[in-house]
Amino acid sequence: MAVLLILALYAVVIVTFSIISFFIIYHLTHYTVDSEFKIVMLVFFVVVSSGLFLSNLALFFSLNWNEIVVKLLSSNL
Amino acid sequence: MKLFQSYHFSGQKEGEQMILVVRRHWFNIVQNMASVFVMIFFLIGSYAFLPTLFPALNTPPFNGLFVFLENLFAMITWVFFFLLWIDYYFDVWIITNKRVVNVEQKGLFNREVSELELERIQDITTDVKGIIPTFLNYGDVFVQTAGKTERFDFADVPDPYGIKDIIMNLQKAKHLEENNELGEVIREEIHRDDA
Repeated sequence: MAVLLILALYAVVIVTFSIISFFIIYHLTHYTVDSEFKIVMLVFFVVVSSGLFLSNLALFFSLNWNEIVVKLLSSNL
Repeated sequence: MKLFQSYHFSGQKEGEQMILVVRRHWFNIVQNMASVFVMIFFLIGSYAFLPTLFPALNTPPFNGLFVFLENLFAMITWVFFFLLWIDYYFDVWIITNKRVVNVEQKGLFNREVSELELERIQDITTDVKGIIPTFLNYGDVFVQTAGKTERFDFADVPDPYGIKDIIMNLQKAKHLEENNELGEVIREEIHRDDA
C-alpha cells in the first residue's frame, strides 16, 4: 500500500516536471528574439533536463521501496 | 552598435530594423536568482554533510534513497532556475526604427505585448535611484506618450541615459523624415500649380 502511494506521488512529480519542461521548451522555441541564442538555450535545457529526468527514473526504479518502507517504519536513521 | 541580424520578433514589420534590445540589468537577475543559489548551496551542503551526521545514509538501502532525493531536488532546482530565467529573458523592450515594443513576461502563462510609435512619444525621463544602481549605471526609463495617459516603463535597464538618447535621436530622425516627405508633397503641388 505504502509503495503504491510512493509510486503515485512520484508519478505526480514526474508528470509535473514533464509539463513544465514542455512549456519551457515551447517558450524558448516560440518567443526567443535571438535565433542563435535560442538554439544554445534549447540544447542546454534539453540535455540537462533529460539527464536529470532519466537518471531520476533509473534511481527510482533501482530502489527496493518495500525494504525502505519496512526499515523506515521499524527503525530510526 | 550591435547588429541584430539573427534577431526577429513576431509582428515585426517589413523594413523594420531593430536598433536595440533591452533587458533588465544583470544585477536584477542575480537578485532574483538568490533563492536558486540557496537551493544549490543546500544541495551541495546536504550531499557533503548529511551522510556524516546520519551514518545510515552510507548503507543500503538508504544510500540509494539519499542519492535519489538529491537528484529529485536537483531537478526541482533546475526547473525553478529556468522559470526565473524565462521571466527575466522574455521580459524585453525592443527599440526599432519605427516603434518601441514592450514584451512583459510574468511566469509561464502571462505574456503581454504592447507597442508605441516613435511619433507619439512626448516625453522621456530617466530615474536612477540608490547606491547600487548609481554605481552599476542602471535604472528606469519612462516614455510618456502624447494624448492619453499611457506610459512605458523600462524597469531596471542598463545605461538608462544611453537608451533615452537613442529613443530621442530616433524620434528626431522620424520627425525629420516626416517633414521631408511633407516638403516633397508641397513642392510637387507647387510645381503642378505652376505648370
